[in-house]
Amino acid sequence: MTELDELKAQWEAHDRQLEKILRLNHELLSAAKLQPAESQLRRVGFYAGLEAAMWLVIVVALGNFIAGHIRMPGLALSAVAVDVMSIGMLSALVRRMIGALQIDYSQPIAVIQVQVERLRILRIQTTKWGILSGTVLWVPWLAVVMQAVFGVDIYVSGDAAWVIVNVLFGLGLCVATIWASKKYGDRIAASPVIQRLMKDLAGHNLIAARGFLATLREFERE
Amino acid sequence: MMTPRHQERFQALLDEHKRILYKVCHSYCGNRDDREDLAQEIIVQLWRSFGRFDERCRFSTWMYRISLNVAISFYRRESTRTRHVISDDERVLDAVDETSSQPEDIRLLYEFIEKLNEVNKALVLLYLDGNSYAEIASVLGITETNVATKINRLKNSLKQEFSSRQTG
Repeated sequence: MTELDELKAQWEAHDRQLEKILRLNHELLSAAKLQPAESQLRRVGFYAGLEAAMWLVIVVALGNFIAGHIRMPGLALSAVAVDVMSIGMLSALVRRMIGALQIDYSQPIAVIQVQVERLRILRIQTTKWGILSGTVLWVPWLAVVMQAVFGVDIYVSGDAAWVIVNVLFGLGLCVATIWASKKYGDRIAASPVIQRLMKDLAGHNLIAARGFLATLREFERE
Repeated sequence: MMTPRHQERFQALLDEHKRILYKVCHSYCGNRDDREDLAQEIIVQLWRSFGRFDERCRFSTWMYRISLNVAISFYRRESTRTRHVISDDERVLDAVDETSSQPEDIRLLYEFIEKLNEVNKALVLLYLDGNSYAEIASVLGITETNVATKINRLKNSLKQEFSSRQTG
């Protein structure tokens, strides 16, 4: 047999056979069993909402901090830098939540898969830039937290050389993280979560997601 | 809110179309436990969307759209998922005497489907299940002409695949 149409007849026979041998576990299909799965999805939504609320609190607190330290350029600029990062994280998270809510799986595949893949790209970019900017901006974060919690201005009390070395260390760590994820990403961890993180950082997941979007565009073209 | 009557209707329709669930899961997952995870994800998604199901539409078309969309999304993240070991009691869809039910050609056909990309898998499944070009186009979201072109291409590649097997 070489023709798809010839195989169709066999497929129909297979279909009839399936009707006889397949059985659904009706106990697992009861509302009582399906509801926990639904509430698990709601829990995921709840945690995403909690994360968004946390970023919102940080953004507002940083705004207050900037206003209160406008005459201290070192601290104000540090707070502006971390505020820009926090606003970016918050807006990406809100866009992902709205995007996820808008997905209706009963819509055509070409439409839904583009939406799903764009959300995946947004998640990968948020993870990557969140980790990298967090690494680069760790000294400004520290400066803001030390001032806000303990009232200590590390730019005044600390040595200038210490600040410069730590900024450079942050940059170096950022470069080293990308290099290590590209070189050892596949071998570093057995955990799927860590593996995904490594692939996000190395750019492998982004390449795959963009590749799939290209496949979908190609599929839609006649 | 789903009423008991809705739940009964949902179960009856799902029972009537359980073959779709089986074929989609078998086409997108090679591993038995992954197939079970996928079947459960599809059922939960069908259940969540059932309140919006328009009874004037064919249930099979609606079920195909949801099942294939969930399966493609599942397949795309499959490599980074935590694998579960599922006991027989927890399986939502089971085939009695599964191995004897698949003739050689069907096994080869599943192998051929496995090699296709995510969207072409969907196209072949819909075609083999006897859906019209208009129905396939509506599930996939492409034009009927495009469906016809792609099916012709797939027929040619299947012919090549099978003839290379015979010569090899």
